Amino acid sequence: MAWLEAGLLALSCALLALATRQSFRLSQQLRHASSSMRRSGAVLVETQGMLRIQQQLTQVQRLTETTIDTGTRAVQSVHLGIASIPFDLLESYPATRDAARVVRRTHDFIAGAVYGTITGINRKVGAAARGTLTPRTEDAADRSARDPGVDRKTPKT
Amino acid sequence: MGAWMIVATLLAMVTVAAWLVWRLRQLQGLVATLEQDHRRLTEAWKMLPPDSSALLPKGTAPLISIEILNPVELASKESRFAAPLGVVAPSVIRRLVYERTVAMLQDELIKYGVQAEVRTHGMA
Repeated sequence: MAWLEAGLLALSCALLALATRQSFRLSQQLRHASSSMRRSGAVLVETQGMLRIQQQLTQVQRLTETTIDTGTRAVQSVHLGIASIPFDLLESYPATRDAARVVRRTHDFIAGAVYGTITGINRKVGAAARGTLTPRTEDAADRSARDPGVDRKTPKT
Repeated sequence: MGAWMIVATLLAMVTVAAWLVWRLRQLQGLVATLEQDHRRLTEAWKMLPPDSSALLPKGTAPLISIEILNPVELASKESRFAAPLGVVAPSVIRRLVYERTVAMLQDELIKYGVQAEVRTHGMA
């Protein structure tokens, strides 16, 4: 009977040792997983914050572009309206009619070109700003490239 | 009778220990699956941690590495213009935060009498 007891005791000790080892490995795995998840969480929160700011900046940019566009059109229409008063007066006199028409055409052409340029520049600047503010998917990939000699690796388990 | 009691107790111990081993293996499998899923996600989002071991040849003394994960958040606490700048030029904000961190670490380490050289890499 003694050999049976000794055998069972040895088996029990061996199994308990194995359980202790497995428990140690499990706690290490859990520590690693917890650390990786904390890291990912922090990166995600930062990315989310940056996306929110990007959206706010994009809204501000669109509002500014629309305001400049609308303002330019309003100024243009007021300008042309005011300018047409003396031209209409001058065109009502036969002596100055021809000259006034030429001057009005020139004035309208230059004014249209100036306001058109302002609107065009505003749109171009807006498009460039939108391009800068658009969230880029490769931003995260750039993180890998920003540290020369440091590769991103799959965490070991 | 006493001998049978001992055998029964030992048998119970063996059973419990075997169940413990089996249960721990199951949990290890679950954690491994969790890690695998997490790895897939981080790979998909391209936010794997840097492999600092690539910087160190084998046999060199150990180094402590610090990666700041929320530079824009930290900078925006200091200045209201930092957040928009962080969106347009994140590398500028990252550089400023790292420089400040290096300075803070140097000051704090000196306070505790730690002789250490704190450097940043890859900020050129």
